[in-house]
Amino acid sequence: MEPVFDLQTHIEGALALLTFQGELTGSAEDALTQAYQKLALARATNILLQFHEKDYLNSAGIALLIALVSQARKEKRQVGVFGLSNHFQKIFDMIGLTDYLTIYQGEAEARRLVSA
Amino acid sequence: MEQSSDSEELRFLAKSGEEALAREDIARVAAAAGFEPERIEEIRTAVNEACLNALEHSDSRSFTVWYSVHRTALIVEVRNSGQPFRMPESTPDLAAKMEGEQPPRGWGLYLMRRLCNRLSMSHKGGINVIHMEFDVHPAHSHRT
Repeated sequence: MEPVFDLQTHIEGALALLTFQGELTGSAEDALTQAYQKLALARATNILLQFHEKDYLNSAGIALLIALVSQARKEKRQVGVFGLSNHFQKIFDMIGLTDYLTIYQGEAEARRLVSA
Repeated sequence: MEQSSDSEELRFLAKSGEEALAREDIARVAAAAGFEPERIEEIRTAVNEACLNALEHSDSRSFTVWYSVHRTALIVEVRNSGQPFRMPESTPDLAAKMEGEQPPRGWGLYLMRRLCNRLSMSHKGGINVIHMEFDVHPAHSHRT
């Protein structure tokens, strides 16, 4: 059974909200590429990644996020994350990803700080 | 280590999605063995990565996950038939990956190493084995 995964992209001015649901694995590469192309076309300068407590990320999924953050940095876009479980916040910290993106405690905080 | 009170070998198909079934089975074993929820999440991730490795390198239609529950630890072995793993020589470098100097992938072994207390890998008789031990109280041991 293939892992269930969904990605929704919402552009709100300079903000792109990418909402993940399910299991982020290497098979999400096309969906993430399309989402990035969409936000780049819209000239979004801030990217917020929304996860949910029950979402799961494997190492290939994390690698996709690294590629996204890497590209965003080259193009001067800021990346933030909210909704991650404590476990995956710890994993992000463990691999050093928190040096390259901001983890927010919730959507309200994320929206407030990226628009500040 | 004392005699195991519970051990079993589980067999999974060598296809995408089966790693999720394996990790959830082991997570249930860990919960029944008394591991804290936070530690179960770590076990889940380490087992998932080991199974992905087995899937990637398997030359047969299945791989197995063997576990053994002890008073102080849970031992998990993920086994597959196939060519020996080629292990990365160094720790992944996120800065290099961000700069495009290294591919973004390559975190599986690193996560396994960081999340279990003892890790070993072997290849014998055409079988790859990833052996992981998870202490019930990880603060009282050191990870290798």
